[in-house]
Amino acid sequence: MAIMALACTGDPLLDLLLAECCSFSLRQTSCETLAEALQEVEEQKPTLFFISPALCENRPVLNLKGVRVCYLLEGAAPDELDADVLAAERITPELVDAWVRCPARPAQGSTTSARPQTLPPSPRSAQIPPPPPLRPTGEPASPQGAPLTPPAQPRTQPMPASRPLAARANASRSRPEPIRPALSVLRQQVVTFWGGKPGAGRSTLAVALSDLLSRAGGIRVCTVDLNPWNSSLAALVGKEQEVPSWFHLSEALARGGSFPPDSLRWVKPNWAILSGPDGRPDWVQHLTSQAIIWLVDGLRTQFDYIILDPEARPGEVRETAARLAQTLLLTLAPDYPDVLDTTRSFEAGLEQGIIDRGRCRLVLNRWLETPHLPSTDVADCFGIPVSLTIPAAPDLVVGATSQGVPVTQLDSQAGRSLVQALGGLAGLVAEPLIGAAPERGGLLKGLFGR
Amino acid sequence: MTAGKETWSRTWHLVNYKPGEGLAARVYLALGPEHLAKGYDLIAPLLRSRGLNHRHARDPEALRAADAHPTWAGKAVVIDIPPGVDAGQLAHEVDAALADRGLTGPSHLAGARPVGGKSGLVFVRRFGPAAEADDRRQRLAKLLGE
Repeated sequence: MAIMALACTGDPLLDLLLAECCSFSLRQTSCETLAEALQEVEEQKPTLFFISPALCENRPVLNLKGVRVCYLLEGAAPDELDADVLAAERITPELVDAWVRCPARPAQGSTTSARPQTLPPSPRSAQIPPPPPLRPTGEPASPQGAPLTPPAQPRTQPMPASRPLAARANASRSRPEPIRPALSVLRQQVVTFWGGKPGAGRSTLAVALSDLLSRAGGIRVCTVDLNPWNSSLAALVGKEQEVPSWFHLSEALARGGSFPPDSLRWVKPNWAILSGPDGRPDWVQHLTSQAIIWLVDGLRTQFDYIILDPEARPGEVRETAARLAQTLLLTLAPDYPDVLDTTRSFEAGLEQGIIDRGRCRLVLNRWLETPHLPSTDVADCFGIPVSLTIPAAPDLVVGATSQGVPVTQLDSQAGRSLVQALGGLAGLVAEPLIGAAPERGGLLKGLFGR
Repeated sequence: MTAGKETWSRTWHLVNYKPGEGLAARVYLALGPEHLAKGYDLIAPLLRSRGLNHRHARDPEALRAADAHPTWAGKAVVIDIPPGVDAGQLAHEVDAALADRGLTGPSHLAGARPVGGKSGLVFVRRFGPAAEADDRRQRLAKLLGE
């Protein structure tokens, strides 16, 4: 049965946005004020009720019984608001759908009273100014872009590797069900890798990209290993000794539960990974299209960037990842069969409507320019320009990955040109971020110009 | 008058001087997107001096986009009138400020009735018992052929 929702946000554009959501059936109302909204709730008895700061004096609504109230907040952080708050720099239908699919907060008076985990003050959020008033009104500027409250221990601490797997699993099971934190997403975006043969460097680049974004300040990143058989992500960040994420994920999927935060493996306070099933048949069978959508929905509520690293093989895993992503990084190695195979699967994806050129960025990895395979020809094959060329440096990459550190953290003289080239990755998925700090020469210069 | 608290939403720039104040009526300005800035400039001093909570479309694009919403279409500026303030009189003052300035806008707003001044851009909606009384007055006036 469809969930019935009522929108009385006081903001017409938010109301129209809610009409685009697919996780509930929206009842259109003509209310403008709080009193009218309460009357509508009384008459229609919706399951969900959306409000926003544009509906002035909305606080009495937040404690309504028998209806789940969602407070949509764009820009500024909530100030001690005891409600389910969906706060984002820009709320999208996908974000609202993800919020709806998550379980509601427990009722007031519950013993669990975890406050939402929020980000440290983000220089970037301060750099995005509110639009100016039509004319100066002589009044102080809006507080939009105010820093968020400081956080921020990782949600799950890695457990000691010496404890047996079953004991660790039981320990995690006995913990109280964590409540969903209020959302505070700054720039929610899904990025996926596409194409290339196994070994083209997708996982290495996924780790490098995540590392770059996590160092950009105030951004939360999650890297998701969607390789059912060759799950290498955990090893690339030195987390291969920890309980695989799919231990928790498959259990949650089997019982139809919500996304388990215990499955996150934290590399940094603002960067987590989800390690892959790594060939365990009982876990691999759960890695389906629906599971990926469920996963991404669960992560949307906690991360600004979700980096998906699907397997190279065509199939539902790769296609689902491509459908969910705003940006696809087509990754190729300088290998004629690789280029040919990826071109074919790219064209098939275009025909089936899974991908489109506008979302794709072409990345040539481990590239050695040869007379037989110039990058211009490769660009012609795909009909999109080459966005980034990363030179071949096998020794450096093997050295970094064997130590479980991202290649972007190489500090040797030899690794400088590779790190410099990899810096362009962040620009492919976070162009506004790069442009946001022109005085520093952009993020890349800030990170690598030292 | 102290400065109002400003908030930005996707559609609105909200200015609140007295949070928590009741709402007896609303006065709307039906300005077209091209005249939003000019129209708001003309009435802003009046709103500031009276300390009236109000909101206006944050830019012409937002106003244009809001046209797709049946309730809010055309409502470029919304002034909240608290109990004890004569909404009719304020509407006429606003109308006088906008008259003969070459401003244009939609001629119909959902749920509000035109004030009928010189500008033709000002509309009023009353809430609560006053609204019913207003409706009764209107029906009576119609019956009497006024």
